[in-house]
Amino acid sequence: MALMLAGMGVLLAWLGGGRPLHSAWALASSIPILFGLGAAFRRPWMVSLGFVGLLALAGAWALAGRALLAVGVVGLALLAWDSLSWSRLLPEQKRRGLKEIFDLSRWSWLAIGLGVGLAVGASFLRVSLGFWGLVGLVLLFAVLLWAWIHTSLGDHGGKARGNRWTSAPQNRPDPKSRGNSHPQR
Amino acid sequence: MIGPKARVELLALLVLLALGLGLRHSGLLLLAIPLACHLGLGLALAPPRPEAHLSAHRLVHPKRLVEGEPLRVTVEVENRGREALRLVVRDGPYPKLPVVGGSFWAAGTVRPGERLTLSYWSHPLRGVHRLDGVAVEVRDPLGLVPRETELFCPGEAVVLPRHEDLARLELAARRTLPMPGTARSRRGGVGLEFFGVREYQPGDETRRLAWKALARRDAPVVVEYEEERAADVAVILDVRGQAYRGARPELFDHAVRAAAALAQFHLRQGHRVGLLKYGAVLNWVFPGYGRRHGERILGELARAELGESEVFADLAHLPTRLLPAGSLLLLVSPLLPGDEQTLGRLVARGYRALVVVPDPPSAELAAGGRSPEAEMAHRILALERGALLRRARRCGAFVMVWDVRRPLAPLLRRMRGVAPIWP
Repeated sequence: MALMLAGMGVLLAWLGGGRPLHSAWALASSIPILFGLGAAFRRPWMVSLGFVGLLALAGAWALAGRALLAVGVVGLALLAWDSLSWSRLLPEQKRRGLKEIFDLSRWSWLAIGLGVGLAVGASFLRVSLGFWGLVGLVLLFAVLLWAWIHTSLGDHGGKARGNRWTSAPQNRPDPKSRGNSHPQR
Repeated sequence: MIGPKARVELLALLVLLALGLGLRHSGLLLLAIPLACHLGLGLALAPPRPEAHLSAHRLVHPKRLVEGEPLRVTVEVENRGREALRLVVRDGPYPKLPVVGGSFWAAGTVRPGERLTLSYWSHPLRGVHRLDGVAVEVRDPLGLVPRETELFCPGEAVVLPRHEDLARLELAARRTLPMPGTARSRRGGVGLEFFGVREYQPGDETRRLAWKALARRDAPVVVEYEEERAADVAVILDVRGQAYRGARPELFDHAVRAAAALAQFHLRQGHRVGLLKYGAVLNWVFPGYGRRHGERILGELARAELGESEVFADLAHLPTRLLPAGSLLLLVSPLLPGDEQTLGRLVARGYRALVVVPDPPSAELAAGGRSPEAEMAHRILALERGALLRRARRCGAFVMVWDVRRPLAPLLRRMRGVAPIWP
């Protein structure tokens, strides 16, 4: 799926550019291959390289003045990378129905749709570059602040609860909880 | 901590912002918006710390098995929290537990109260396999902030050495015990083999009267059979690393299997059997009888590993005080130069010693093919080893060279022709 989505990203960029015949596009075809090989052989650096390649492609189109096309390529790049997470979490035994795929991918669709929508909407606004810089910095600051707060609040500790009944009493499973295998006498 | 995917996205976001501001290009800044949204939502959906919400349970079946039998390992990870979690669970891989079926990892979305189960089958190698915990990764929906932890769920499997069932080994200890067994005691009594005749004494059973002898002698005589009793047997497994140096690791496994076969055979015959592992440390299983004792010996053999020690570099420090006088010593060892002197001393002290030598060249040939170089090396090794074994035989020990490519039982059956039973 990642290979397909990344290939769609490259194809979109190629078609959007008016199907240019240039040797650099042959190089761009290596991006979906990187996604595919990275997913098959579990090499995250290959996937990262493919993602960065698609971003570079989008950046090139943005510099050439095709901002909407570039935003579409970024959306497909994000979708291709997220699809690797879904495909690994899909149950192997059950039939892979559309519902399971939707359950796993709905947050990706939401995040990417929201981002692409905001970018497309913003492209119609005529404001100064300084404003965009300010928005970018505020966004970045918000992301970093959120990450810091979330990490700080998340580190409240917790104990692993395996079946280690021989460990200290405070680590023993709660007898009232469900699935207790050590009933009180 | 954020994961590698989030780091790449954050770096790309920073680069796009820097380039957009540096080049004063709004198009590049637009590209940063989807990335920022994706990153922000991913961080907002970061999962909780998994340790507090997960519990793991491992089932190992069977807990005690013989080499070659299948072992099934099942791990269940239960979600005790209130939110659905996307889990990737991995158990191992363990080098001595090659997976032959199933999968040692599982992934899926686990709702509250549900369990994620992974199950695999293995044909484990000999040894004690302790399985401690499973690695659990909880993923957020966008895969940006994975939380990793290890859930402790111990399990243990003891893989006993596979061994042959030996049918016959006509080599007995010099001294027998007062308990019944199968070792000939050189005394008249109850048994199967004819021992002799003697004059009738009041109290002898009339059915033991030898009527033909009575007719010839004109005096009553009774037939006596050779009494069969139990004997002390000590199985000594050589676990000195240098004795197996240069050979394939399989050679030691063959030695362990031979020791197991010898111990089990003598226990079946009713003898009192002890086990000594001689190498890095001295590991001694006190002599005993019966199936339970046999299981204990097999358990010790399952734990046998090669070791190095300067103290026990040669057999000179064999603890003879642990070995009952006159007992049968069954040494399983490739032998090192100098060991024959210790064997000679043991024979001189009244022990009967049988040495089973797993042949290192045969193991090499079995594993390494039949190239001309291998053949030449085999011949040189065989010559050196032949000289060593001749010296050991001259000391009075019974030495059997075992080609590990062939079963041990026929070799031991032929022992009757090698040396007299009662020299």
